[in-house]
Amino acid sequence: MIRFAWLILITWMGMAILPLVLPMTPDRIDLKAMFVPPMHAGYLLGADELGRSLAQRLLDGAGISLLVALVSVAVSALLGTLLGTVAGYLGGWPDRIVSRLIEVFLAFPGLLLAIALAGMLGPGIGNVILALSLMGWVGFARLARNQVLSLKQRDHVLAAVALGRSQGEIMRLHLVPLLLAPLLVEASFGVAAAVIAEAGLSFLGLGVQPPQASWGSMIREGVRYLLVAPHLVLVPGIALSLVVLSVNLLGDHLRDYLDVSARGSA
Amino acid sequence: MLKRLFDTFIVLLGVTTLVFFLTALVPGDPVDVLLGEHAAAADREAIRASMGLDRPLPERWWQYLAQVAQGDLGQSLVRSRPVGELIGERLPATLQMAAAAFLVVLLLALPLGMLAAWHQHRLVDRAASLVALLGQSIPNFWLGPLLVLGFSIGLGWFPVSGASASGSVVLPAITLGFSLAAVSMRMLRSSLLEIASQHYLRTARAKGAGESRVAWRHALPNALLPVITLLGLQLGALLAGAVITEVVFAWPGVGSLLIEAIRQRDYPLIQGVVLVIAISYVLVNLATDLLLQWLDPRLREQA
Repeated sequence: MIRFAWLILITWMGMAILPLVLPMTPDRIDLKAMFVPPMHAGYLLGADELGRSLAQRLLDGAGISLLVALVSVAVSALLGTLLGTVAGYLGGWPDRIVSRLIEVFLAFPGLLLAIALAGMLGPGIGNVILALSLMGWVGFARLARNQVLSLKQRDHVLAAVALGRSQGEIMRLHLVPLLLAPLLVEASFGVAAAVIAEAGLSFLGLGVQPPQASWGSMIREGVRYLLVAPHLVLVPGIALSLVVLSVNLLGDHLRDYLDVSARGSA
Repeated sequence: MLKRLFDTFIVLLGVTTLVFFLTALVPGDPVDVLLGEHAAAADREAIRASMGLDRPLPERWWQYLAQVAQGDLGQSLVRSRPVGELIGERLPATLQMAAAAFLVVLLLALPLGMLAAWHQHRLVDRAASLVALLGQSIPNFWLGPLLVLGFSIGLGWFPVSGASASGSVVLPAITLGFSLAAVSMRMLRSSLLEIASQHYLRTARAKGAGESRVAWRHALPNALLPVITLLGLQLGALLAGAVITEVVFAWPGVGSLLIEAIRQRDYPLIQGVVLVIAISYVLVNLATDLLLQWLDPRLREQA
């Protein structure tokens, strides 16, 4: 299973890079090729309602989903770990403020906050990344805070305090390195969530704008032609589900491998 | 108990504040929506003043809080009707779909979770974990069209979209409930397996209780507690997931209202819908906590 997951992930990354080296025409309209099914007329995965190559649009979408997922998870992880570590280590009013912030952000279930943010900011890939980062930092902050709360009583931290290390050094050198394993697991599930969220926002029309392709917007446009050309929905959907499935499998595997039992539970 | 209520109040205050500050993110000006970008400066100023947009941000924030506390969510920019009224019209459809989805979750998760735990590592268990894996990996905006393809277009059992025909709630409910059912099933399975080794089950057997009595009377009630926590947490997520599901099926609920509001840049309406969903989520969580305390004597003593 884990090999299969790696294979899918490497394919995903390869697909994302291919458009940078291949001559691509994902927006070229060919009305003679309208709704061509997969493996016909020189179209590997068929063509959409404007005769655009589905394979090329899929490659384009792979790039978008990878870019959005990696950047938004990186921003969330940095911001969340910073706030969570500082709050957990310092305690007092910084902790009270961060904890309240976490609670308030957690009060927006699922994609709701991202939908609201993207809706307010307007469509576009930069705004999607911003919306997903503002949604994603909470998980990392909660995890980092909980871990630091239990780690800061460890002997090596107390020893560092006794040796007169500054608070910044203690957090950077003695606490954050111990957080890396659980954070990595959280990040892998975060990538899966971000891939779904980007596709979801694009499905709602809040993500990338036409003619650019995202897997979510491909599903959105394909739904209208479900009756005549189901492959328009099936192709991007299968790609999306395979990637999410693989990232989730990898996350499970990492969690077992790194022996991270408590995943951010309060 | 009082502390829990106080915390809830603080969170509600924070949620309302965050929703208020969403407008600060808007590029440009809400007045553009009403008058267009080429309106005369004097007209713009008049509208700004009548909407209170000319006053400083803290004052507007305070006013928004006071307004929301009185149950007033403001006026829709585009439809010139109270936001509360618009949401009220759409809420029943969303609640109907969420309730149906919740039923799907119970019907799928309870039997499958129990079967999987009782036949650990056997075929049923493996099939159940496959379903769970799929449930976590298939997003609802893809599952919906797949179900339409199979059951509406293929078999013709259910309508493709809308809420008027009979049976139209079935596919949206499955779409919305499937992933939650998958997670709850895994949760029930693992909590049943954890409980299987507990001493009080051995005691029950030693007292001569039959296996079915042990399972139903002694194991299940305890195994359900973490599942109830999860379901409570996820009931609000159902409301949020409903946004996408409603768009897939053109379901006339609060979620499709939110997306319409976003397209029309109707900012007060966006704020209103987001606020209503978030507040319901917070209140559902509070209710779940209270329910658990009532169900579980151990928690009651702590409180």
